[in-house]
Amino acid sequence: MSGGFFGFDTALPGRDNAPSASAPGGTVHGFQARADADSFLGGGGLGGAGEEEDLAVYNWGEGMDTGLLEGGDDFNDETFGDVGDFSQDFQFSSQPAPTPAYRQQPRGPIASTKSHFHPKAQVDLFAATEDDFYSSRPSTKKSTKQNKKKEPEPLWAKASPANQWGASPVAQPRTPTQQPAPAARPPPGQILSLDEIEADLARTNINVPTPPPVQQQQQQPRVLTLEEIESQMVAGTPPPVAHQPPQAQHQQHASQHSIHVPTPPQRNTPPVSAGLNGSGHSQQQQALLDQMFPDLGSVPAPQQQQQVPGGQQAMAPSGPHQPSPEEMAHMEELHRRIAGKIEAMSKHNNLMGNSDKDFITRIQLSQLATADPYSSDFYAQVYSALIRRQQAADGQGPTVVQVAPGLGFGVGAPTGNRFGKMGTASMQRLTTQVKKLVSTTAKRQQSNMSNDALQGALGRVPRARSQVAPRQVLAVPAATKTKHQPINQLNQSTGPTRPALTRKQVMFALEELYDDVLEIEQMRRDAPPPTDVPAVEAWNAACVAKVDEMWNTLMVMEPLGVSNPHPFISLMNPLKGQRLFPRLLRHLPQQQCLTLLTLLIATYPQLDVVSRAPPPPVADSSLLTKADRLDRARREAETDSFLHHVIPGVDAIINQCNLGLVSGLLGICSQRMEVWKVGATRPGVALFTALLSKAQSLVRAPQDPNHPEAQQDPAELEQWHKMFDYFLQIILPHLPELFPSTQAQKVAFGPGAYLIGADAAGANQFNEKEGLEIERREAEVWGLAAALAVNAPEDQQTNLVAALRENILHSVTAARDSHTPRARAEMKLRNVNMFLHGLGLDASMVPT
Amino acid sequence: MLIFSFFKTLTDQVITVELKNDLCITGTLKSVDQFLNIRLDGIRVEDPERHPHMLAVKNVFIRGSVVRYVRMAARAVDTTLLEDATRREAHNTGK
Repeated sequence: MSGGFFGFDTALPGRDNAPSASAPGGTVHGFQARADADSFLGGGGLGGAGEEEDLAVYNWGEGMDTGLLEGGDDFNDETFGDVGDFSQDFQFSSQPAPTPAYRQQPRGPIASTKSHFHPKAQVDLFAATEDDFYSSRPSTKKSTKQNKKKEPEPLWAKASPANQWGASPVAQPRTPTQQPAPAARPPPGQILSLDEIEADLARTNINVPTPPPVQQQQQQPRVLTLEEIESQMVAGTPPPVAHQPPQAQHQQHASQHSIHVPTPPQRNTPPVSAGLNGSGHSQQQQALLDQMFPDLGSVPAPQQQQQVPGGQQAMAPSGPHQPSPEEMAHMEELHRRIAGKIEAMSKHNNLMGNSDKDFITRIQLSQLATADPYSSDFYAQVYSALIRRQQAADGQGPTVVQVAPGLGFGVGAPTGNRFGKMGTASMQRLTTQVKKLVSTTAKRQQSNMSNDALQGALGRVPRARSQVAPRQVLAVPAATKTKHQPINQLNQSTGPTRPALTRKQVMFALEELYDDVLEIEQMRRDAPPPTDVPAVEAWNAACVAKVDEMWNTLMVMEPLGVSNPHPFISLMNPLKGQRLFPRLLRHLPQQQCLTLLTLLIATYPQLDVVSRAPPPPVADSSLLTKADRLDRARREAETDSFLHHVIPGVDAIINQCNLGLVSGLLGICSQRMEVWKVGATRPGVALFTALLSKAQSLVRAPQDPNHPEAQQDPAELEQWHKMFDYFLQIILPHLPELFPSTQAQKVAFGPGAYLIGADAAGANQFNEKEGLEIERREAEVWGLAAALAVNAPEDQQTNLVAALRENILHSVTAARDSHTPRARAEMKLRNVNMFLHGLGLDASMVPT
Repeated sequence: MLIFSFFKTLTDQVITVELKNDLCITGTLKSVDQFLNIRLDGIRVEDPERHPHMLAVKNVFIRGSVVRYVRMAARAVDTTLLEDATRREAHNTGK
């Protein structure tokens, strides 16, 4: 369908016909075109056209073949629209369209603008696509062009299968839509003559390049014989003047036809466009439509408007004087695809009215309703609550919509009130409507959905609870659900000791604990209003019972030596248990917290993070095997997690202790653990530091006359001093060994030891980041040393300094070394000062 | 319902939806329903060269069953809470 014969290939008008006869096969298009054309001529009742048409048809087909064979079709896309979008089985029927139709028309009175106006049919044809448009603008239907279009319609409908697919009917009416478009400028409702329309078109498209010779060809007033046309093309003489200004005609062509036939536009337009609908074609119309009816706004505006100028330019068959035709073609292609896509999609616009959408929304909402909206929307509910708390934003909207007692759905979202737009009135209305839906479905399900009814039921069985709890494929009756109680049941071996919990038991116990905690948290959230006394009492009792259950699961009350590690320590070893720890503490009463802390301290050495503390870093990590490295990483992670999750809770409990308790705990430490070993681990350092600093703050607490009970009991003070002396006595010889740098030095050997020791804890050996990390860990130990210093009596302080002398000197000299990175040097000084300030000294006093 | 509940918290955040046909669409999540159908606004397609037909599309409604992955910012997820929600869900359905 390239139509080389018709000379759209502007550069080579003369060559077009030369090889035409020799064209062997031609494309499917060509074949189809001819075949269909023949059939048309035979059976279509176009008798008047006779021989002339036969001849013309053959020539046309051959000319087309030629065009396909020669190379001059580069700009066909620009000219005709996106040929690539024509699917072959779609187009074959419309191919022959131009020929018979245009033959037929000049002969009859059909071309008259006033005849054969069938508005009804027109509306029907449009109904599928542009309904709104045409119903809103009935006047545009009265365009002159449509009359002509109507005439060939029955013929097409019968002849081409494409019509039955709905391709043609859609396309055909579009052609007029573009045509009446200019008519929208004059007051609607008035029928314009074709001339007026075209003049208008010309006005709107002034920027169209002047049509090249090909255009002039199309301006011939009536049908010419093939010979005439050819001779004109070869000679390049301007054809007889047309009725319209050339630009208008060009525009008409560009927008209306994908194939140009050398006939007067007024006459040949309708059938041609009907047959040659394509994406490019309709897109052109759409562009025009948008141009003419900006107020329609049915299609996204920006793309359309972008597309219009490009389309026009590219449509103009003026390839030679375009700067870069390939680019143009590419752009045009792109625009066309976009517009075509929009066009294709726009026919689905407004298929659903607002009421339809609302209806569907309500159905969906009714399916969301569950018996426990908070639970099924747990994540969103809590998450949004957290977010709200973070943002400290009030204006709380309801997060759970109750549609019925015991039924509702969560609307939790971080943005808060989702019904803000609708307002509470609409929300209530919606709630009642959804409620109705829910109740009807529930009733229906109840009536025909007992379990008995399900048995042996074939076919479609209505599902009980929609998406929330889909019916299971296999309904295996859960016999007696055994409650996993690994702790008590599995460990009921007699005797004072028993094996430690297995990992599986620990995990089961932890899950149980998590469930308990979740339940308790939920219970706390559901606190009844304080005015409702009986409810509050019941709620309190329930909470206490639950906490007791949790307490039992924690196994804190198991005898101290029941197993190694103690069951509670087993629970605290995995990351999961450590993460649970702070949440557990929140719900435990203080007395139980203290018991727990005591147990924890008494069994502290059994903790994985203490007994299997990560080894000190090595100078060269490439010496480690992969498994070793992984193991180190895992142990580091456990330690970090312990410090992050458990230690703050421990600190919090210690902070509630009085001096007697603290000294008791310190006594447990010194008696039950090898203090130097525990102290060499980060959790150990953290624990000792917490105990010592709490004691210090209690001892030095300002005398508060209002709280005489806050004053320290001299007996307790005495006991504390004894305990501390004992503790200090144990730990003092080992104090330097607690420092990570010393440990690293100790385990290192060979050149590594030399490096670490020589260069002030290996400042160069470890990279910057590792160095800072080591300093941070050193700071923890310096903090412990400082806590010891502030608690120590004066005579012990000198001992402390003597014990730490090496470390102090190392750090200070390293800090003063110009090779040490600045940040690290500062940290070193700060660490040392932390300790020295506790003694009233400063690092600057240290002689170099 | 857990995942639905989770996705609800992502509304008005930018997510990337990878479809089972390898099309990756980034856009602002406007809404999600219990089928995990997703409505995205202001979309952008990864690799638009391969999917020129998506150039003109500004918002999409994605059927939940065609979604392969949804990518979101890590900070948009509260992992601990999600774990808890999972436990609750398991607890509730197990009952």
